[in-house]
Amino acid sequence: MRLSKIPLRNVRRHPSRALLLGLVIAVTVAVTATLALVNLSAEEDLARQVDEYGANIVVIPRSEELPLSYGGVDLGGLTYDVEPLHMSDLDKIRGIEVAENVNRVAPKLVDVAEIDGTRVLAAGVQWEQEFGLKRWWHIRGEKPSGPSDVLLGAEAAESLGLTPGDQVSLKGESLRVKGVLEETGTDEDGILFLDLGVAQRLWDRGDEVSFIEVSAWCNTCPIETINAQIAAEMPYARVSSVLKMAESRELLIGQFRLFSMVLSGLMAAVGVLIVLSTTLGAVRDRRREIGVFRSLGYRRYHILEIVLAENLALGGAAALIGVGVATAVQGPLARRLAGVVNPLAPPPLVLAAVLVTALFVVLLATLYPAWAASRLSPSLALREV
Amino acid sequence: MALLEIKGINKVYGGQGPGGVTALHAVDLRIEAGEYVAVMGPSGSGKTTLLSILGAMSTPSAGSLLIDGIDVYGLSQERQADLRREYLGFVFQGLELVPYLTALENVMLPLAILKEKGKPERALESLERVGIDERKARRVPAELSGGEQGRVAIARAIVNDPPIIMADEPVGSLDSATGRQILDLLRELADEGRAVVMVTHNPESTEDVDRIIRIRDGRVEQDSRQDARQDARQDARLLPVEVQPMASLHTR
Repeated sequence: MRLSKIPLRNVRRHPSRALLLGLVIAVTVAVTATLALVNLSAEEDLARQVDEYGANIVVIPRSEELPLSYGGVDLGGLTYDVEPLHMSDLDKIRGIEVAENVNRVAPKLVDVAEIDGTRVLAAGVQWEQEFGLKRWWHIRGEKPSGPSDVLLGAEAAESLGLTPGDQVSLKGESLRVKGVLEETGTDEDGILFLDLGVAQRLWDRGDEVSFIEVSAWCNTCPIETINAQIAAEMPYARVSSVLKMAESRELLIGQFRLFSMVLSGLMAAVGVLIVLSTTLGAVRDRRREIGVFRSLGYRRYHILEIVLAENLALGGAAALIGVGVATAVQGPLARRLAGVVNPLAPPPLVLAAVLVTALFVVLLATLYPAWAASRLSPSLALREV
Repeated sequence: MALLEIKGINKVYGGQGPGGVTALHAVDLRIEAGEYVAVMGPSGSGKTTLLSILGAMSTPSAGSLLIDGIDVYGLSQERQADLRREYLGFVFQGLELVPYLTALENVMLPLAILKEKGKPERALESLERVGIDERKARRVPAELSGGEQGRVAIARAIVNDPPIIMADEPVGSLDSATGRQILDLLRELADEGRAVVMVTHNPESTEDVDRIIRIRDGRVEQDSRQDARQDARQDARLLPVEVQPMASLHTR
């Protein structure tokens, strides 16, 4: 017979106690592991969404501006030495060292358009890049795709009195309103979007662009690095990061992580207390039995081994069940609670870490009762002492 | 050299101060190999305390215990445990078999912490000696009669082949016929050359013992030999059990 038989048999002898301990450990592990996995999924998903939706870098021409005032009268500013951006700059952006992190490059040419005597801001765009960048756009009518298509912001459509399907004449060019954007609450509501090539031709701007919006995946490469590499390629341009978005993403993820950690910590603390008190009670019930073991020549570490082995065996089995439950429910929960579209497959390393941590916590919770058991006197085996 | 010797043993519970209760007063004893000794006395007389000190279980407040010449309470706790395993076998009041282990596993308990082969064989051999067959050896204590449980307890006490057996009211919870069987077994163990020390309050249990030590109020009141009975057995006695001294304990 091996020493390990004693704790295993004792578990079978007290099924209700074993069930209680096992349940506490399994539930704690399941909740903690589920939160960790949902957190990971949400983190990945949020990062991907933020990376894919919208620009996080804006490239504009570098310019020198001179504020003008004379005799206390503000005369506006004077912009000079402006070196415009060109279509060739798009290749420079796509050619940076971490080009694999560049998702969308969306150039724009901005000017004023006059339609039937009403002036609106017009923006020439590359339809495919623009739609890839602005995934939140909802369009009434059809999605523009050709050179003669026009997309109107909600306010622009209202002020021009145009609806999808209408024809407009811009600088003598006949264009067709394919769609109208639903209100976005941004400057885009007042803009008339048209094809970039057409805009360059109508305003006679060659291959000039006013600014370039860049969407980059910052998950594997810091935005500052991408920013610096674009700036190095285009010293005549000003490259700015849209940090607010990154910061809000970090904040959101951080809050979720904090919530998960606090809840996991609380559950672990409650679990430790239950394991500790239940094991202390079990040791108290087994005082005479432990006294018998000691009288038979068991050293203190043998007793320590028996008590620890019992809880570790139980804890290991319960933690495995907990991890299994977490693996099964984390996907649906991530979808339902955190709105994650594609939850991660639970990484084996994370599951292994959860198991090891659970065993370590059970070990910590059992150390004191095991130590107390190992200090019991062999004379407890004698009834009258 | 006596196998078991205590010198000037005092045991005070609750500290040496005015609140302390003295359980044993300056007790001196020598017990030889092959002696079957009964320790008798009324409840609270100190007999179980004496057994716990003789059994290397409870450190005395003063005095020393020598087993095979080893100063037991001069050893560390862990080495005292080793000494108990090597030199002592216990039969407890209520027998104290572990209820969730089979008879065989109960007997193997002292061997479970040893790294050696042939443990089941040794345990079965020990059980056979006390009349428990292999079929019954596979049963848990609750499936055995009182007498069989007593035999298992004795098999567990002798499985390590210790030179000293300590028995604390071994027949206290058994009917008279079963108790008789246990007492006979203890007698046999003494006849093999082991020292058997039995605590009892029942005079009937002392019929076969060689020596009776009466304790009252923590003092040895009477230490008498039942020489005639002992002499009658002298010839029939087997060779004494060979004590294998633990070198590590002698050279602590």
